[in-house]
Amino acid sequence: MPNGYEPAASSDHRRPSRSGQRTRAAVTAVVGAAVVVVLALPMFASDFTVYLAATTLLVAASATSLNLVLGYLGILTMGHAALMGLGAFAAGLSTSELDLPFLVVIVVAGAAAGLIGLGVALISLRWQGIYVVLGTLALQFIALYALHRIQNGVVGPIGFQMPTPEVFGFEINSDTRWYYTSAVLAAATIAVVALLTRSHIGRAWVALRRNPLAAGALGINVTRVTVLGFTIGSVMTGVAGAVSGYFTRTVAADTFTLGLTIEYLSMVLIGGAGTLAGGLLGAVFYTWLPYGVNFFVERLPESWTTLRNHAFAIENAIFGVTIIVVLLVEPGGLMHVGSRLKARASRALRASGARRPDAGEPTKRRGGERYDDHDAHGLRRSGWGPTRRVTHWVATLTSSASRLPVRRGTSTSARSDLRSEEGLVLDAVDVVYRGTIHAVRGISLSVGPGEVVGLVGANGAGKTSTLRAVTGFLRVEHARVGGRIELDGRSLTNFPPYRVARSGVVLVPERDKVFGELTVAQNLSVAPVRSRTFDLDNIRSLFPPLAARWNQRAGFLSGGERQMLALGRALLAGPRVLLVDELSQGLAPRALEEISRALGRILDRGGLSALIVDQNAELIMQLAKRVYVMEVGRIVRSGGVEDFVDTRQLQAAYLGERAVVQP
Amino acid sequence: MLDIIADGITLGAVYALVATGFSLIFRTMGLFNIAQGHLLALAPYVLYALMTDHGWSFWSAAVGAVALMGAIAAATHVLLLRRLLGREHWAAIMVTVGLVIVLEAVMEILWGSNSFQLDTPWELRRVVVGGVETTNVGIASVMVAIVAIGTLAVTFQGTTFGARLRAAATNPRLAAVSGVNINLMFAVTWAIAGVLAAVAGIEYASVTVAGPALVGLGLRSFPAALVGGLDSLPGSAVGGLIVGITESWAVSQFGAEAADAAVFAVLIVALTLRPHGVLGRAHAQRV
Repeated sequence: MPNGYEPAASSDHRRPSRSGQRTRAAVTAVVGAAVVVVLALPMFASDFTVYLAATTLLVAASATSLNLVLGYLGILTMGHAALMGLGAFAAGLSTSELDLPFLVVIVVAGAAAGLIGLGVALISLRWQGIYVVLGTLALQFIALYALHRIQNGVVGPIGFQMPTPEVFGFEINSDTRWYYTSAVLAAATIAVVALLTRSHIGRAWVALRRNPLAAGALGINVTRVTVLGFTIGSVMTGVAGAVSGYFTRTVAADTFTLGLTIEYLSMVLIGGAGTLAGGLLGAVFYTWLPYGVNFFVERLPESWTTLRNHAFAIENAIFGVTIIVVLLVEPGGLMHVGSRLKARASRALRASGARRPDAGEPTKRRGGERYDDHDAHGLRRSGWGPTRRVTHWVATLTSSASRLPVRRGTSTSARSDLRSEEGLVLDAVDVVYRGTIHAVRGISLSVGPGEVVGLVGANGAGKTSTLRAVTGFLRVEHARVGGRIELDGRSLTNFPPYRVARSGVVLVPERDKVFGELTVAQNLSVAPVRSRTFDLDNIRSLFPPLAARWNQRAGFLSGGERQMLALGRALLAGPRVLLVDELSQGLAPRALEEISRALGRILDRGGLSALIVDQNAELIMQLAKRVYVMEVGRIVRSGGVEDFVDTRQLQAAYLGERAVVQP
Repeated sequence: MLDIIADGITLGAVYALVATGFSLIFRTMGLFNIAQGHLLALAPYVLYALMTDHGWSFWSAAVGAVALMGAIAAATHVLLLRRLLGREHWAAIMVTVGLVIVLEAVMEILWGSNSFQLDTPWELRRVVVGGVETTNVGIASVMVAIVAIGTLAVTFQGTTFGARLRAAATNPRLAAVSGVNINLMFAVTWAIAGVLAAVAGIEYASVTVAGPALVGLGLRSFPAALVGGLDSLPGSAVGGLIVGITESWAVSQFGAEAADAAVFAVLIVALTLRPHGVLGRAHAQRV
């Protein structure tokens, strides 16, 4: 599947295959046919259609330039209309004052908008991410005001009257000629975007969009590639604005309001942000929608006067609703509805057995593994939503069962010792991130009432993912969790995280375990207190260092104190099962000793069971009675701590024999 | 000049309310609510409709309108934005942009695009305080802003509920695994923002006119929120005052259409000098 979000990546890594060739041939045929239709349109279509098509293509050129900024750079700009206006005004001034020829005017307009865009980029990119929205909003308002002043000072309220453009003696004076001009402009804009995204700059944008900080760390000059992209986008926007000015014959400041920006943004989203044809599709939708709406409004009953008189407002309402629906349902826009159909078709093809076993598959899977990576604790790192949603959706579509076999064989024996359904029970639990990364493969484990169980394994074994599956967080993040998770026979599988916590399974996370802005006391009051065994006084006496810092911000606590605070908060929530992720990580030996002793005391009181994940075998031997050893998503060994004789043996079980230094 | 400042302060009180709602949403969910101005503009329409079409008294209609705006704002989160948590920031912002278009169309269909006068139970009077001329409604606006922001500050700092709201805002994952219903907290945050915007809209409409022009008030509250810094409630209040005074000065010098440009120019200057706002702090970010 050509992934519109990373055109460079997917085309570079695709292996030519028979079906690929067939697809390419089909695409060539379709594109060829489209080109013929587009070229021949004025010969058979009505004048009005040709006029409308010309409008659409001009709008498409402008929308495509916005798509470069929004879809490829991932910058939500609010100044698009202002940049169009700047281009148009540059054109207006240079024709009315200097009487420059069309092609020169276009260059001037592009340069003017590009310079302003460059300035805005340089100023607002100093601000962090989302603040760029504000910078461009400022551009929109300030530029619009400036345009108004210029207009009033130079030509008066009607605005600039634009002459008929002339290219080497050839006058663009009919709808047909305008149609071809617009087609050239739109095609050129799309071609520029296509070339840019296939260059190293385009690859830098992909990296940036996913994680600006990491991209910077990789040696990409974040500021330069962003400023470059924004400036190129601005130049194209200015040109589109100038040509549109010639087309409509007047240039007036009132055209270029924030409302126009919003319309263009919506167009790009509806068409498909970050796809080459997205701007064009959005422009088609936007330009033709009024005629569609009119068609229906005219056919409404006579008595519905309110609606009949507000065709324009209805059209806007439909437009607004479409944006929201697109964002919620199909973030790829109309472009992705196409991909969806294609995916369905290829699935049908696969079902008929007409394909080689692995053809067509590499792009997606490798794309997933290469780019959709997760960090060590299974958190989603890249921010680019649409890709993730789409990949996930593709995963559900292309039946995970065939591609990611769930090995139930290994878990059947484990399942048989889960007769008693008391305590926390995981049965054949699977965790798949984004349909590609199989982090947990059908593991089964149990934590009986009052029992303390250890879960050990090397980095990436799937321990944290297992805990996250239990807490219910993974579903929120569109990972797929399969299998059964129960507490005392009650399923937790469909609970949101807070209900899992309230039903008695409370997590002490690995990182970010306290609310840094809140005081220690406030941190402890965040969770609804449900514990009958613990109250604030218990916590103070269990962890004396906390009592000393009761009204200080948690952000100032040491690693050990944070761990105490996190444990305290978890205990107050009234857990039946405590999930502790990496208890020892980042703790000084003294602090660890203190905490593990306190935890030991708490667990000795009984009534509370715990699943403790840690890499420290000694700690596990000390606290737990039973141990599960995880390796690449599976439980490879389990048993009582006594089965492991000493810590070295336990370490060897998950680190490999040779990794353990012999004394 | 003193009069301009006095006007600016009363206007700033209105901005402070809107900016507070705006920055609450930003801090909690990391998104710019572009529809803030439309919630604000819609409130006087609803109030007007409740009074004229349903015969409610001004005060009950005002409470009704404020409550409805709170409910609409909360519904925005529950029905739409909840699904977009964790997605790239502009996805959620664009949903509010979609909402802008829809709300504008709804206002157009239901009430047309005309401005109208609210029928208030009080009369707008000039009041002279310490040699400076202002209005009774202006003084009331300042009081409302102080009470509202003060109440919020006390709630956030001093109550368990406030601690939960802040917990959900600063670390939603941890809050959720600690047993906090973060979606409820987010919905409450939206409701607070909707209520603040509605109160501000009614205040402003009662001194001028109600109409689509009020949308601009919401847009100019973004700079108000940012200039002060998004971290703190006092920041919004300070930002509101700065924006209010800037606007009343610019309008007196260059006319009404200069308001947006002047306010956003202040934003650019402020953010260039202090990227995290006048009262804001810098945050480290992990790769």
